[in-house]
Amino acid sequence: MSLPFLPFEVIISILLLLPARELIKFLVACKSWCAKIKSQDFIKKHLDTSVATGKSYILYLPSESKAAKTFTLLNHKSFCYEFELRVPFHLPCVLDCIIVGSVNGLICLTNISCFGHTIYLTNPSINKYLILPLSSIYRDEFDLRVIQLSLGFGYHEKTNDFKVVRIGFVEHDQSDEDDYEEATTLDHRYDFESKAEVFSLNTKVWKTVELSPNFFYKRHDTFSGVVVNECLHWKTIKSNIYEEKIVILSFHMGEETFQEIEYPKFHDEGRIDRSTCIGEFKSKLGLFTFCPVEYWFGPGEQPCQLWVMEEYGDKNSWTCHATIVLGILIHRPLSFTRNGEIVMQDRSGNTFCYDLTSNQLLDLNIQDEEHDMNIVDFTDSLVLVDLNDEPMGGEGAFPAGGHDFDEYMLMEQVLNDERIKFQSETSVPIVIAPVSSISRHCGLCLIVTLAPGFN
Amino acid sequence: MASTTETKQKKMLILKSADNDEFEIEESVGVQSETIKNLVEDGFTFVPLPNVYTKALIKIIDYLKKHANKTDSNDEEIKTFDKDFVNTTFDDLFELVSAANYLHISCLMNMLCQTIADRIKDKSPEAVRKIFHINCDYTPEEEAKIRKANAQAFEGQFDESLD
Repeated sequence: MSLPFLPFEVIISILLLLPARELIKFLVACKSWCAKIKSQDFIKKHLDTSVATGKSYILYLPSESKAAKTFTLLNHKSFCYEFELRVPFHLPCVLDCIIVGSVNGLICLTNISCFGHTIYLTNPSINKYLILPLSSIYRDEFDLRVIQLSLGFGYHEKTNDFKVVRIGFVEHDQSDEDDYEEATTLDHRYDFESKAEVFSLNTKVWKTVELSPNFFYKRHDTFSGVVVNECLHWKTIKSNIYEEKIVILSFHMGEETFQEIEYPKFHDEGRIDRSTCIGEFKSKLGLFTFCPVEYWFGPGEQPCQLWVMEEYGDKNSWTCHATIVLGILIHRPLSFTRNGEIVMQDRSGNTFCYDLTSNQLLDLNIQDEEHDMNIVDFTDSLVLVDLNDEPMGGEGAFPAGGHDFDEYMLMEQVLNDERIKFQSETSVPIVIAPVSSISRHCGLCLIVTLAPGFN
Repeated sequence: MASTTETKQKKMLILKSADNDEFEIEESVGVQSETIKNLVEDGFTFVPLPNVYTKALIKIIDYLKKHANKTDSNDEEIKTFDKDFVNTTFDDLFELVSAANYLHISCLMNMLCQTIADRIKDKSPEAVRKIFHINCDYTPEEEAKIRKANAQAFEGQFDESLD
C-alpha cells in the first residue's frame, strides 16, 4: 500500500492546534509549511483557534521576578498559574518595564522611568520583539519641557494593524511672567500645548496626528489598551477658559482622529469624592467608579459602581450597570478582563479580581507593593513571526530580533544612527540631555536630541 | 440486487471502499458524515468511497455506530472507545484523518487533529519530517538561516521518537 497521503488542508487543521512556539520549530520542516505558517491568513486563523481552544491567559510581570525577566501567565478562567514566558530582550532597562497593553499576543512595554520614550512591542510566545523607532516629533526642545507622555496600544481589525499612540503635553513656563497674579488666574489653564503621533506596525513609522486648535486636554491616563468601537480611550481632563472637567478622550485607529466622550451624570454628584477607571466591558465602554480610600470615612462599605455606555458615543446611554460591595478597600483598579471581571489592588498591593456575574472577589495572590504593575489579557499567537527575516523599514529604526545587546550598546546605536543620518546632510552638533527622571534601577537614562534650531 | 434480508423499518445504505469491499450500515449511522448525508438526500443508497480504503472504513463505521448510540449514560464508554480508537500509529491516524476529512465527519476530524497535534508537540523538526513523510526542500544554508532567526525555539532537547 502507498504511503498515507495527507491533504494539505488536513495538515493545516493539525498545525492550527499547535502553540505558536511549536510552529516556529516546524518552520524548518519544509518550504510549504513555512510559507503557510507565516501567511497572514494562517496567523489570523491560528489566533482565532487559540481563543476558541482556551489558549487565553491573564499575564503580568511580577515585581519580584523583574530581575529574572519573565512574564507570568495565569489561566483566564481559574486564575491558576499556567506557565512563564521569558521577556525576549536583554536590556537592563527591562528591569523597570511596565505593560502598556496587550492584544492578540502582542505586548507593548515601556520603562517606568523615562516613560513613553523607549517603546517595545514583543510577542513572548515566539521570542520576537522590536524597539520602536525614534519619535518624529519629540526630537526638538519640546521634549525637554514635556511634562507628561501618554501611550495607547491597540489592534485595528479592519486594517489588520497594531498601533501605538503617543500624546505629550507641555505646560508653558510661567516663571518669566512679570505678573505672578495674572499667571494664577483661570486664563493660564489652557496655556499648554499638546502633540500626538501614531505608530503603525504595518508601515513601521511614526506619523504626526494633526490636533485641532481646541485640543484642550491634559493629564491623561498615562497608558491605555482600552479599545472599543475601533477607538482607544484615555481618561483625561478637559481644561479651557470655560471649564475644567474629566472626560474620555478617544482615538479612532482607522481615521486617526481624536474625539471626546462625556462622562455619565452621576446621581449623587458632589456628595462623594470619586475615582474612576475606564475599560472594555463586554465590547462596550465601561467605567468603574469608587471612592478613594483616603477620602472614604463613611460607615460601611466603600461605594463602587460599574457604568456602561450602551450606545457608543451617546452620553445619554451611560447606565449604572451594577453597584458593588467588595469587602476590601480599593486603592487602585488595574484593568477589565475579557471575561468582564475587574482587577484591582488594595493599599498593600494585594491584587484581587472581581467577577460581576457571580459577585465573587478572588485574591490572585499577587503582591505589588510598589503599585506599578499592570495585568492584561494575553493570547498565544504568531504575530511578528516574520520579523528579522527582512530588515526593519523606517528611518532611525533600531535593529530588532533576538540579539542580546545592552543598554549601552543601544545608546551607542542611537548616537550612531543620528550621527550618520545628520552628518550626511550637514554637520550638526548633537546634544545629549539628561532627563529629569533618572531610572531607579539602571541609574542611567539619556535622551538624545538635536541642538535647538536643527530640526 | 443487494441483500434482501434487510428489515423493512430501517433504511440501509451500502458503502463501497476503494478496494471494492461493500459494507451495509443503517442510514441513521451513515448520515453523521456530511458527504454521505448529501448523497442520501439526493436519493442514493449505494455510496462508492474511492478515497477510503477498507481498513480505515471498518474503523470509521465502528466509530459512527458507537457515536450514533450516544446517550447520557454511555458517556464514559464512548470516552474509552475514543481513547482506544486514536491509540494507533501515525500512519493509521493519517489514513483515518484523511478519510474523516473526505467524509466530512467533523467531530472525528477534530478528535484526530487534536490527537496528532498533541503527539507531535515537543518532537524535533527532523522527527516531524519523518512522521509526515516530508522531503526537506531547504538547502542547508536556508535552514540554518531560519534556525538562526528563531534561535530560542531550537534550544533544548526534543523528542526524536517516531511514535
